[in-house]
Amino acid sequence: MAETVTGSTPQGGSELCPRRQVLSSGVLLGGAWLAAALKAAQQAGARAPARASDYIYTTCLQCNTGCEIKVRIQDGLAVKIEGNPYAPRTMDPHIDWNTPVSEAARLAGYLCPKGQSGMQSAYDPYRITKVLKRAGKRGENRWVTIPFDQAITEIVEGGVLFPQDGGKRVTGLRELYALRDPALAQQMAADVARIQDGRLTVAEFKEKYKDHLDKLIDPDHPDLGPKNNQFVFLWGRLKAGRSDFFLRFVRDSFGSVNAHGHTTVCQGSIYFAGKSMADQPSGGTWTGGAKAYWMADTSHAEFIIYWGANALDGNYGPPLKAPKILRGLASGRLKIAVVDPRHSTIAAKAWKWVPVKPGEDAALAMAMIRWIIENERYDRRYLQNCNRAAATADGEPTWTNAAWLVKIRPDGSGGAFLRASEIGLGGDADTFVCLRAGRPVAFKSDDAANAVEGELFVDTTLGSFRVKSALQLLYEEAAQKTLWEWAEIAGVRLADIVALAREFTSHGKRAVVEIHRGVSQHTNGFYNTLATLCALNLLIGNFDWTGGLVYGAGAYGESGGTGRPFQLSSHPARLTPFGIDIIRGGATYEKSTIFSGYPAKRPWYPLASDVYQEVIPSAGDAYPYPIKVLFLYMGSPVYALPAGHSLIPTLLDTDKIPLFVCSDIVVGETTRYADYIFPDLSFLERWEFHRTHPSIVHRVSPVRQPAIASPNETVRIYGEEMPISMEAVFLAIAERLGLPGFGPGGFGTADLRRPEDFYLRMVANVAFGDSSTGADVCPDASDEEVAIFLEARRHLPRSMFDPDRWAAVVGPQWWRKVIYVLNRGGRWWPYEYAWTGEQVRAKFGRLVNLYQEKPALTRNSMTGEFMKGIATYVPVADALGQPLDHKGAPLTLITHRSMLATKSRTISNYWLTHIQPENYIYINPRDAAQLGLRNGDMVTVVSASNPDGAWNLGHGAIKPLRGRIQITSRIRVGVISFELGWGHWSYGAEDLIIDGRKLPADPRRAAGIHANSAMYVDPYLRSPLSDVVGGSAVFYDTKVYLVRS
Amino acid sequence: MQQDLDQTLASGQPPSWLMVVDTRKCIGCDACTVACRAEVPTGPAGSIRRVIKLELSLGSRQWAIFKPINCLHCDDPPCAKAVPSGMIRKRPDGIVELRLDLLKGPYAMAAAAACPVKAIHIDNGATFTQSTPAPQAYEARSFVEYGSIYSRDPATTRLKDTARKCTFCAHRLEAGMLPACVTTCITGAMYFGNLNNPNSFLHELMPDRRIFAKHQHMGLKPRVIYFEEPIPEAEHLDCAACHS
Repeated sequence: MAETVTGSTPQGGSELCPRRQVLSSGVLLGGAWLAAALKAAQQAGARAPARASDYIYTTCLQCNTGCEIKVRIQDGLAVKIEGNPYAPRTMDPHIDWNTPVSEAARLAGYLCPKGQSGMQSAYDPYRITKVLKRAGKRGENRWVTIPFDQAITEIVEGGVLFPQDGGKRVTGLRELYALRDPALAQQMAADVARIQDGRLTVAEFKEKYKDHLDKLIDPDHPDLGPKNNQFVFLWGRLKAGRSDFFLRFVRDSFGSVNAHGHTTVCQGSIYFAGKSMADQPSGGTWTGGAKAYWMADTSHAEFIIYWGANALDGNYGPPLKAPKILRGLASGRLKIAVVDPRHSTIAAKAWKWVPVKPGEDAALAMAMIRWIIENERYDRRYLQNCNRAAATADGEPTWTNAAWLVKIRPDGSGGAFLRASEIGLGGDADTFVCLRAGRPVAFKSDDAANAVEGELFVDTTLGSFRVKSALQLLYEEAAQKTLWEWAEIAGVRLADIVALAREFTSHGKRAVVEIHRGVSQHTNGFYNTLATLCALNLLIGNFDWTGGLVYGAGAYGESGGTGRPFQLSSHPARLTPFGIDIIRGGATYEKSTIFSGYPAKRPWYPLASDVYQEVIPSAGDAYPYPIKVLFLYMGSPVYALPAGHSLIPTLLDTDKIPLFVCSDIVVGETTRYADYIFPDLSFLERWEFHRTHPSIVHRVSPVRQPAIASPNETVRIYGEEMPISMEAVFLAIAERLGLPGFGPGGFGTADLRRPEDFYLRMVANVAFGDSSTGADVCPDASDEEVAIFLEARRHLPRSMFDPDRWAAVVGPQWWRKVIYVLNRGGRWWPYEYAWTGEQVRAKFGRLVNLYQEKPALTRNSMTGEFMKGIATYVPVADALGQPLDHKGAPLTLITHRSMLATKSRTISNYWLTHIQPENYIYINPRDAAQLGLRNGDMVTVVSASNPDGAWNLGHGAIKPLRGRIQITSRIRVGVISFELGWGHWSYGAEDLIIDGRKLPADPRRAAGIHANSAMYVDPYLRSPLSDVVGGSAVFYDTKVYLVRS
Repeated sequence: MQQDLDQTLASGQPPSWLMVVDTRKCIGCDACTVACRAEVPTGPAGSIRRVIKLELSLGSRQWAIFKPINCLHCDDPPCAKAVPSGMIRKRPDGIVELRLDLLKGPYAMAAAAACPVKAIHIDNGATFTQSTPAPQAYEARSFVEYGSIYSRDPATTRLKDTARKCTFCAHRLEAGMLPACVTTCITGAMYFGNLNNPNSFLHELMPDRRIFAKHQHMGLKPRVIYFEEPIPEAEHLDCAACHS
């Protein structure tokens, strides 16, 4: 039986699915399969699956919550997926990590319906298993299968790869691998920085590097960097481990700056506002803030405002938060309010639902701020603390800059913080000033010895400087309008605002404003975040407190660090990537050699990175430079982005994107435009380290590891056999180009010839633990556990699981510890360890910026005006700051998540679509009545930027923006919403032609509507509307018509 | 719950199973629906567990109410009365057991029609991927129901025209595992225990909760009991919302 089902190399079958996965093709209907199945079952008898060796523990990726799971294997196939009882994401409280796996076998944690359907993402009838190359024009969706090695050769060497494109020559990666000398790269990078700081002229640079100018994209603009940058790697969902591996290739070995994630399609403006909140003063500037943010300690909070956050359907995420929320509600410990134009699942459990107008979140927050300040309901003691010593004296882990003095510009706006040296009080560039008893006092933020407290509301003149305290500036922002006026703008009742503010300030530090996409995915998302997450929570000083706002406890350092056995970042010849990246992330327009006044051709994002919606349009505009090769990994920007249709013309254009290489498990909505698609491993077949989220107060290191055999064709790279994967693609290119950092000696002394050479060492680092002295190194697996480990993996082919080789990678000292971790699917803190009484163990423990100097001193590249350093209300606007023109459309279109779907990749899950076959456009009864619509009517969504109400897919292919309405009072009047995840036109929803054979579509997968293409296209950028400060792609600021159809 | 189950198995005494659903905690996520389907394979023809989602709007207030439904394992099961004796058996532990080999075709339909909560469906033996270019083998895995082995292999399946419903995961209980819907519930809205165990958590859980009056009126003596939302308005819901 085992041989039948898990033969090591696929043979025959369709291109999509090798025969061993195929049931009814005739081959398996004969006696052999059935007899074997029955025999196996009979052997099992009526036994329920309580044996430890029936399970492999790994990590879900049906959504980005990344729950720990246990996969039940029967006859070599995944048949059921459950929550992992060892893990805080899926069991509350979770069992002790040292519980023997034999005991844990019969325990299951919680898991959402998507997670439980996970095997359907892997066992997908439309799965691709061989390399596909386009046979027709790009986007015609006709393919041929080609050998992996041929695909690698073509991508590396380039040439006339597509004769049907009129003999056009394609640049290969070898040509783009122009700058290869690490020392030269480092030198050039340093000199480019000097050019940007005005310490070196371009002419001087050109003279100095006259022998190497051919390696640059444009010698007259050295700050664009080397030609290596014309290789762009773009990803959708990528987590640690795999990201370390991939970025090692893109940045360290190939030397391109262009490795970009998808952050801004999710909640970029929260991340980058969070980064700005977390920055610390250093040498006169602000650095060190991580791309991260804060959430509630859900287990202990007494009051949570879920603001644009649907914690029971998404929002990292249901199994993690739902038990804590529902138990809290049932016991009376917790009260919740929901701010959302839609009455979401969590609103159904809330004390109060406040249906704010989309995009007017800051108005509501400003009203609350004004009420809290005027009624003195803020935590004065916390806010007065100017530095670490003052905070420590009060038992506060964090402090803020509420009392710090800000210099006021002539126009009244806040600029830089006043430095002590500017008024003759000495100190350095990081010595700031507050007012105490009317006199200026100098201090340093991180000073642990000299406690300084300041006055909270200051508006005065010191020397020649007009100064105000940060809290004064916040109050002035909030006092711009009366509560009633704010309520009008936000579209909510004044009584609700007061009730929210009163309740929020009635629980000490056990109240939280938790936000998500509903706040950030607007053109004003950055400032909305400052008003909600930042200002409101700082006013009650709840950071790091049990039941307050937490930063998350992070993960065990899997990539190395002090004491850890393996340093995964070690590289024998690392290149220093340099130059402005294609999205102009973290770059200052004014310092570049291509500065040409305002507005810039496209926005610059000095505060953001990973601006997903900017990559392909920037390639389309060749700004700041043309690209040559685009790799897309596990992403579907056309489907996932608002106004994703605006990307299609660029993807179709082989001049703008000369080579488009994708990694996917199916032909999807974006990969259908690829030149080559490499089959990837599904999440159940591969390695990754999903790490954590802000609301997880335990340190967690879930491991994603192979649980089932991959259907993919196997290939040989560096002499090693492996199924095709994204790692295999990078390894093969590295082998072909002879890139340092991979292959024999890839780590210097050790080899990096296959994925496990990388990932098993990471597991060993997790086994090592947190203590640099090795004090919490994990135990060895017992003989029994080793046997369970091997037995549980009996179905995995040698190309994926070779215990002898695995043991050799980490060595005998670590092998049994690695097994210990893998048998449990990771490592986690014990439940109680996360709290130290009134505070959480893992603290942020630093300054949290109420006022943010960096944005205040940074210009918006479109308007040329300074950004704001404090929470503020800014109306929705386009890139140039102009109001949006909806051509009179009446209904604001928003989106939401159902527990039953993840944006682009769960339509293959038939267990889910059986529960909800299609999605709906939800509309309030009043709006429906006005439009004469009845429940179940079909309508077409039409907007100013999509008057046709359709997805134009190219080559005449059209997907109408047509969906069914459901009338419900659970949505604000004037707002409509639809669930993301349906309305597919690819991913098995359209016929595929492979090797001349047609694979018919499954109509179930085309059901419903995906209305993203109705969303506003920025008229200046001709691409998705964006928050040009925080980077978010804008989902919720479009107005539409519904036309009965 | 696990302790209750462990004690029950260790005691060797006959149990009396009871499932409790606290609908105040239910969020309608259908995790249980999928867990059930994975544990006891069913096809597109129906579902052993389903979650009813209702909404109420009165004035400016909105409610959403979620109610998981499966076989109630009635002590006086209407389905058993609708078919010849021997086809549906009330076990001493409370489980209503179907004879899948006998309860087919018209008998299956009669049993299904008799259920007041529509908890029985007629399996057609189909799989979800059989109409696709590559039907998937995992859907045909063998499984045990009432001690017999079944599979959805389309060529050999014995499930066509068979009545299917909740078994309280009897095969799991025997192995010391709680029902799949209970363990997977992400809000802990479901409880399962043995009323015969004097130490069972059920005895503490039961007294202070309100049981939906309408169900008591139906006289079914169900072994799935609902704690209700404290929403007085819910009493006004139309029975047809769940029962049609």
